Amino acid sequence: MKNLIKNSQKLIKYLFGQLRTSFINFEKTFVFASFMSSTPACHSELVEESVQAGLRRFSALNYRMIAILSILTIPFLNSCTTVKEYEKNKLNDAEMVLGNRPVEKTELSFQSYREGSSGANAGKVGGGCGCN
Amino acid sequence: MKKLIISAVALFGIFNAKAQENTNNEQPKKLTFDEANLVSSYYKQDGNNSAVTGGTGTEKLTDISNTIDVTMVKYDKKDRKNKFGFSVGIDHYTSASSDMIDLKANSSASHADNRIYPALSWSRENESKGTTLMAGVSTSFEFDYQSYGANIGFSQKTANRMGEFTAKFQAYLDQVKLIAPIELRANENYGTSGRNTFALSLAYSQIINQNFQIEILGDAVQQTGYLSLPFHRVYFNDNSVHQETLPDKRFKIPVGLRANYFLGDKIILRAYYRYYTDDWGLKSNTFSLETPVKISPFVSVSPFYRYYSQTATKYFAPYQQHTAFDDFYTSNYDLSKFDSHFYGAGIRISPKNGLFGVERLNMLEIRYGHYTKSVGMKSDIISLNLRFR
Repeated sequence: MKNLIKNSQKLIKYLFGQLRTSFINFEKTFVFASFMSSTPACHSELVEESVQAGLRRFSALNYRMIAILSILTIPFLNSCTTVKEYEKNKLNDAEMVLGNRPVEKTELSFQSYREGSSGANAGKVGGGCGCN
Repeated sequence: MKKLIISAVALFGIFNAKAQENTNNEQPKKLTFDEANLVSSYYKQDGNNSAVTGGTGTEKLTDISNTIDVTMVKYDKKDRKNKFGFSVGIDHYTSASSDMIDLKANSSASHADNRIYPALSWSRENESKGTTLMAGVSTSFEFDYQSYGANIGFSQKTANRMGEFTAKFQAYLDQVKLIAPIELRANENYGTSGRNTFALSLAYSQIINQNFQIEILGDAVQQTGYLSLPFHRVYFNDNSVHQETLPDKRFKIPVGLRANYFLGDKIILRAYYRYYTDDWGLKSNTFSLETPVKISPFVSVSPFYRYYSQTATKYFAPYQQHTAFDDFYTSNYDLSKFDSHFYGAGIRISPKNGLFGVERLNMLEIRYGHYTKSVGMKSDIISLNLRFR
């Protein structure tokens, strides 16, 4: 348990460090690009190149930030306390089931026929019928 | 001396030890009945944008559907829970628009049809390891469409049993009978063409706390083959009539999120959101909310609302809007830009001692919904579920 807490703290510090570096680089890229574009003596090709470089860096930073934020949210998916079996009476209620109930079957069916999209609901994905 | 006494006591204990009698119910080693569900529904729709008549004309249709599914359970020697499922469904539908495949006939054979769809499924759950293997086969038969499907899947629970990851692969190998509109038919010998669907479905569910759980779902679906419907007409701007023609490939990505929350002791919030995109240019958003309210421990009422919005596929155009320059064309309003509302309520009764004096009949659920599309189509559906245990 102590090791888990220590490792989690190290991971969080590392991730925040990466986030901080990303923000600083992001700021630098825009400052550089705006400086270059505002200097009249700058060759237009150089300005374009720096803007392109800035945009590439921005895309890379964006993906990195998205990845970091995604990783940061994972610990929140695990609750702080484990729910014991005898505490799951509400979760085990028939209407709390994470899925479609049998009575909804035909509704999902007509929706897959009458709409252009289907899937991501444990129902039809498009095959097996003359539907969309 | 000490060693002798200890040994003597140990031997005495061994010879007099008795195993505890197992008073708990053992897991059934024989195949036993677990549950059966009977679902019946009546669906009725109407509108004025039938694809059979090029995007105009009646969309009147009724459908009576009955399905029964039975689940049996058996524990094997390694104490793994094996579930065997068998289901069969029969739909009888009448369609005023399908009747217009032959424009001259007052009423043709295509005005009604039956669809039969049996399926078998199996799953094996190892409760100690938290893993489940699953597989299934399915078929579907109607006059102009036959399908053979198979699926395999795997799920793994997290160490603390709070989360579960599921992966499933499905394949459908379908045959479409090429019934063209009467004026475009060379002869009465209908050919067939294949349509294949391959889908990878991933899901992760997570218990957040005693009242709250969520699930993230995503599919990647690839369809190839004949993806149009042969009896759909498309009228060009020069008034010429053609068969609907769509690309022979389609790739779809729907991603969904479910969240169920038990609010207090009597109300449950069931929310669902899905974003969908495909390479035909169609994008959609779906949002639904259902709020079961427990009137008593055995009765609950569930009002629900679903909002759906989609953009048109790049191949859609209304009646007489397509030109001869279009490679692909459809006037099927199911692929047009629209939004829809679906709302209604259900009632669920599950008394402890069974319904109508039948102890095994332990649940009855009735649900009604009204559906409206912004392009003018309306429908109603009423469904009934009886559960036997």
